[in-house]
Formats: sequence, structure tokens, C-alpha cells
Amino acid sequence: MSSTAISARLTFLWETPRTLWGSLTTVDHKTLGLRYLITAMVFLVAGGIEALIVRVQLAQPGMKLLSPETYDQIFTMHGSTMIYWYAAPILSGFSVYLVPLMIGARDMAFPRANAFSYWTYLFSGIFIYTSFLVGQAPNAGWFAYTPYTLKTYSPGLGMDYFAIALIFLTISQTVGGINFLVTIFRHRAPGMSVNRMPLFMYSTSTNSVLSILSMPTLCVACVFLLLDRDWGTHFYDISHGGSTLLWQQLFWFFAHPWVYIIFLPATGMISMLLPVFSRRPIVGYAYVAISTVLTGAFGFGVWMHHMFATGEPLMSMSYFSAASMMISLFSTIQIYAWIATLWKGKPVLTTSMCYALAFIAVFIIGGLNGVITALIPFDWQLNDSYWIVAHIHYVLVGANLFPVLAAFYYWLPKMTGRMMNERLGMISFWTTLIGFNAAFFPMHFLGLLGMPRRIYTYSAGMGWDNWNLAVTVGAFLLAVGVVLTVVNFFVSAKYGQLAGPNPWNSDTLEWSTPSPPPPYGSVHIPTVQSRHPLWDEHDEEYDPEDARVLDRERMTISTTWLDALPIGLAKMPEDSIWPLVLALALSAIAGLVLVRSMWWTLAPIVVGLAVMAAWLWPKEEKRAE
Amino acid sequence: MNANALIESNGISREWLSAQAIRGLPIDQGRGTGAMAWFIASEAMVFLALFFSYYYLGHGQPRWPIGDAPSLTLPTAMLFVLFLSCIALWAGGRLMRQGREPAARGALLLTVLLGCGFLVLNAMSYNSATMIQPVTQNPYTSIFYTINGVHAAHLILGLLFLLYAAVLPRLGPTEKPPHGSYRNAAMYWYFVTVVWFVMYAVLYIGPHHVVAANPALH
Repeated sequence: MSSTAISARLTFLWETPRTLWGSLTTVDHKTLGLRYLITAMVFLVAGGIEALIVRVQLAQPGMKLLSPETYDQIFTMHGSTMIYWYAAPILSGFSVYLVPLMIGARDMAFPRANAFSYWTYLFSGIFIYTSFLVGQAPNAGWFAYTPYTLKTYSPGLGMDYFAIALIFLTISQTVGGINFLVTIFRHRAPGMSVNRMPLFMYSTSTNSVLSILSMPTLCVACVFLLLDRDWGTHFYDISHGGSTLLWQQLFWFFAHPWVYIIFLPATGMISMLLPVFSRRPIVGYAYVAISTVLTGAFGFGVWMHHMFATGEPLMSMSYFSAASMMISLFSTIQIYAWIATLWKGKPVLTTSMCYALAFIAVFIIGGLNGVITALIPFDWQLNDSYWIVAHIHYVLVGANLFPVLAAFYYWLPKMTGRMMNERLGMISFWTTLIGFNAAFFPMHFLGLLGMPRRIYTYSAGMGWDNWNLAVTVGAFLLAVGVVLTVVNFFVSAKYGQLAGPNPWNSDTLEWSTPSPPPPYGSVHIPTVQSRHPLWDEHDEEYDPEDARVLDRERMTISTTWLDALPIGLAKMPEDSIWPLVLALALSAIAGLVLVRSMWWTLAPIVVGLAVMAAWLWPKEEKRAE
Repeated sequence: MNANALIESNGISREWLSAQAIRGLPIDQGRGTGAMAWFIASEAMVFLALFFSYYYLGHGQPRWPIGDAPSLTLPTAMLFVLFLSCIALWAGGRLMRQGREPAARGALLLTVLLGCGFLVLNAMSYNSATMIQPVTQNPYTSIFYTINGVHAAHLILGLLFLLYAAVLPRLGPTEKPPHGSYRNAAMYWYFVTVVWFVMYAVLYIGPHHVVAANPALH
């Protein structure tokens, strides 16, 4: 059979028409992955603008740019946007795009659920941003402690927006997590046993388990909050016998694993690209894989270290202090593996590699200023000061933004088909690095000098003035660095050098497809016989009888979860409008709960159930003859 | 490296790579079951968080539950109803695997009926004298009715799953998705039943035990 006939049939089966209807119904993981990435970048810019407004307000003592009320809303939205609507979804974006390509599957296990995750994520973000339109954005910080968030102290709609939007986002993340797990453990290419999976699969699947098991607690905490605020229950209300610490327990049980949700896929991406630019396989593959999983597991046992200042029993404080120090071991193992890879390899300093190296350096600082905060007396001294702000930014920006930028420079040639400009890339790298350190390093001094976090202004003569100015200048420099990368993306996507299938001479399967990949991925479902399919001598697409082209219907191969032996052919659904309609129905429910028209929510609930019934109903799918 | 070397290096039988073997693969019926298992894991965490909150709210109280312990009569009856429904569902699964689809559908409908019976008993228990307190009375009533309500909502969802499976064109292995609809809906129903067993122990048996063990609470 001629290969053009095969690819014509595969294109007929998998391509989404380039129409408006096509763009609303598509389930192509590559389109959805790009949408995730772009949406998350938009939220990064929105959160960044909010950060800059906050920094202008704090640049000098006694500034009057923002009223205290507006300041509270802006910094809350900065934190919430960055943590919930940028940091995790951008990693989902990379995973949605890359996971099927890396494991040689035609798409995710549940392509329509994938589209549903994206739409839900998008609408939840739009939903929380509509709070600005009514002038009542959330105003209690990204962890929204009770009792401040109860109706008495936070009247208005702000905290209702916060709670409902997070429940909404939980749905998106949970569906996404289930989808990743089933994809990774059921659709890997034949021969890609678990000891041959790219390390990114370990981090994505650990991340998914964390999402699935930790987000329900957030959901419960937010439901309690809504019930307390609007329906008169007494979960958090101390005056009626409730417990204000219940929120903190539930919230941090979710939010500490969330830190790893933000962090682990980023380390997975570093473990993919750092060896490529060191021109050798990663040192200690098994140790990196195991420590990724153990970080996730131990991530469930450290949440109380956010609550050392709340008066917990000595026993529990000792346990959580020890566990918090212990968990740094696993990150340390990964860092040593990366350093050893660099040491034994021949590093090539591309922009991507520079971001990866900067990540290691910045993350070590963030780890060190964090691990000493696990010492309880030290924590008591510095809790709620700018020291904590410095720590969270070193960890989150260091462990998320730098790897994400490294990943952009590494994988964008695959996604757009064109190389990013290296010269502009290096300029943006140095601007970002210097700006980042100028913005966040002085915060350590501000913390030691006693500046509390979240104050909207301060008076002169506290010794904070110059440091604050430095922070503001650094923040703007950091913003310039990020903007340069965005500019680089747009310019390079149009005028960059053509990338070809494998510009970096990488080892994993996504690089065996053309750039950008066709809608069906590779023509023949590959077989794998080592950890580095493109570096070994085995021809992954060797298939003289065209058995693995699956060009009659939309299908991909199912394999066993441990050894990846073929066990079945999975039928994949076609494009569908139902994911979008279901996400819209959820948005309607969210809006109606916000204005407390509870009986009206029955309408979108019924619509949603009908949509799910239509979604799952068996139907004729197209075939290529 | 050619395919033969690949097969030898893997130590795997040569059949799995042959064109014949790939063409002969069955339609995968198990994808949804994996998803349902993870969905249930996430739902289990919802209830874990709720039970945690129940004890956490209680540990600072001089008396928990605040007021009288809930009556055991109706919850015990509900336990039996759910248990019977699971037996019907399990028997239906056997019938389905034997290829007796109409009988299996009958078992599904019986399960749904018993589930509705549970909901009726639940509504009666809300109206019974010992439970007439409003949800807004104190933290105990808040968490008690929230757990109860969340469970009832999950049970209704499980009923809808079962009903949907009952009206699908095929229950057993199918050419077209959804595959394994009976099995997946049944998994969810077993899950909501198990949750009721735990609720029965935590919310109903537990308080009686505590009151009995500590006469000062009378």
C-alpha cells in the first residue's frame, strides 16, 4: 500500500475542518494543548499586570495609587491567577500536547473529555475575572482564610466568586488527571514498558494522582464556605461552635500537594530536555523516577507546616517538621541527577538549556530558604513576613516559570515548525534572570526587617524604602523578559528558521513526527525497545505489512500498563460539540449559584445530564474505505 | 535493528509484533473502567474530607453529637435496602456475562427501584422526630446534613448511571463505545453503597456507642 494513500486516509479520519464549527468541536489534543498553553499565557500576563500594579503601589512609602480595598482585590487576584489559572494549566497544556506524541498514541484516551477539561478551565477563569466587572473581586489572598472570608467580614460577592470558581476548576483538573492516567497507562506504544517511559510520564502521572486525590478536599472546603456564607451553616463560625482551623486543615491538605502539581511536571520537562542538551542519557533514571513518585506521596504528609503558627500539638508539629525536611531529599536526588548529567555530558548552551540551568540555581535557593522555614522557631519569627513571599516566588517562579520557558524554547519548534530566535532568546533569558533576582532576592531582607506580607502601604523610616524600590524595578525587568519571550514566539512562529522533525537531535518519540505533527501523529504506531527510541538503532515505524497504521477507523492501540504489550484496539471518538455545551451548562450553574437562584440551576443541570446522555450514546463513526 | 532482534531483546513472544496479531486484536472494552476507578478514588476523597470534618468539628465539643444521637431504625432499614440492591446488581452482572441481556436489564431496574426506596426512606428519616433540627442549628447539624445530602446526591447520580446503562442498546461487549457500561455503572453503585456503610458506622452507630460508654453524657 502506498504511504500517500495511507496518510490521506489517516488525514481524512483525524483532521478537523478549519471552520468555526470545527474549532468549537475539535478534540485534537494538539489543538487543545496549544489552546491550553495560550490561555495559560494570557492568565500569566493578566496576573503579571496585577503584580506590577501591586509593585507600583509598594514602590515608595505612602503611595496612593490604590485604595486598601482595591489593593486587596488586586493582590488576591494576582496570587489566585498565577497559582490556579496559570501554573498548573500551563503544565496541563504541555502534557495534553506532548503525552500522546511521546507515547506514540493517536490521541488522549478520552479526547472529548480532554476538550471538556479545556473549556471548563477557560470558563472558570473567565468566571472569576467577571468579578472585576462588578467591582467585587476576591480579596482574602489566595488561601482565603476563615473567619475573614465569612459573610460578616467579607460581604459582597468576592469570596463567592472565589469558592465557586475553584469548584469549577476542580472539575477541569480532575477530568484532566483521570484522562492523563488512563492515557499513560493504557495507550503507550507497544514495548514502552514503565522502565522505558520518558520521565515526563512519571511526573505527569504523579501530578494527575495528586490532582485527583487532593482537589476533592478543596472542593469540600469551598462548599462549606459557600454554605456558611449564604445558607447559615456553622462550619467555620466560632461563635456558633464551628472551627476556623477546619478551613486551614482542608485547604492545606489540598494546597500542599498542589505545590507539587505545579512543580513536578516542570521537573519532568527539565529531565527531558537537560539530557538532550547535555548530549547523553540522564544519570540515575530510576532514582529520578522514584523520587518523582515519592515527592508526590510525601506531598500528602506535610500540609500542617503551613499551620505551625496556629498552636498545634507538639507531636504533630514535630512530625510535620521532620516530614517537611525529609521531602526535600527527593528534590535533592533529582537535582544531583541533573548536575551529574551535566558533569558527565557535553552541555550545549541554548536558550532552553540556560533556562534549565537557571531553574536549578533558583530552585536551590528556593529550597534552602524553604527548608529553614521548616524549623519551627524560625517559622514563628518569619511567618507572614516578606521572607515567605520571597520563598514562594523562588519556588514557584523558579520551579515553574523557568522550566516552562525552557520547555517553550525546546518544544515550540515542534509545535510551530519553526525555531525560536536564539539571540532574542538569550536577551530575554538574561533580562528574566536578572529581573527575577532583583525582584525577589531583596524580599528576604524585607522579611528579616519585619515587613509583613499583604500590607497595602507602609510609612517611611522603617528601612524598607530602598529594598522595595529595588523589588519594583526588578519586577518590571522580569516583565520585560517575559514580554521579550512572547515577542520572540510571535516573530519566530512567522519568520523563524524551519525546524525539521528533530532540530535538537532529541531521543523521544514526539521528535519522530514532522514539525508541526499531522493530526494523527505518526503514520505507523511506533514500537519501542529502549528509553531513547530515536538514539537507538531500532526502527520504531518498521511495519512492512502496514499492520499498525489503523487507517480504517479512528483507533489507537491499547497496551498493558506495566509491559505495554498490545491487548486491544481502542476506538476513538470524533469531534463533538457536547464538551463545549456541557462546559457552558456548568458555567450557567456557577453563575446561578453565585446569584443564589437555586431553583433555576435545575435547568442547566437537566441540560447537562441530557448532554452527557447524548455524548455517550453509541453512534455511527466515519470510516475510510 | 530489525524486528527479530527487537523480539529477542525483549524476551517477548514473536506473535505480539506480527501484523496478524495486531489485526486480530479485540476492541478494547476496558478504558472506561480505568476512568471510573479513578473517578471513584476522587469521590472517596470527598467523603474522606467530609468524615474528617465531622470528627474535627466534634473534637473540641463537650458533647458530640450535639443533642441526641440519631435514631438507628430507618438507617438500618436503608442499609438493608442498599445491600439488597447490590445483590440484585451483582446477579444482573452474572446474567449479563451469560448473555441473558433482558434478565440483566430487569436486575438493573430492580436495583433502581431499591435505590428509589432508599431515597424515600432517607426523606422519611429527615422528617422523623429526632432529626427535625434545622441544618443551621449548630456545627453538628451542619455537617450531619451535609454528609447526608452529599451522599444522597451521589446516590441519585448512581441511579442515573444505572438507568442510562439500562436503556443503552447493548450491555455486554460492544463494537461502539461506551464499552462496559453495566460494569462501570455497577462499580459506582457499589461505591455509594460502601459509603453508606461507612456513614452508618460513623454517623449512626458511633454516637450510640460513645453515649453508651460514657454514662455522664446521658
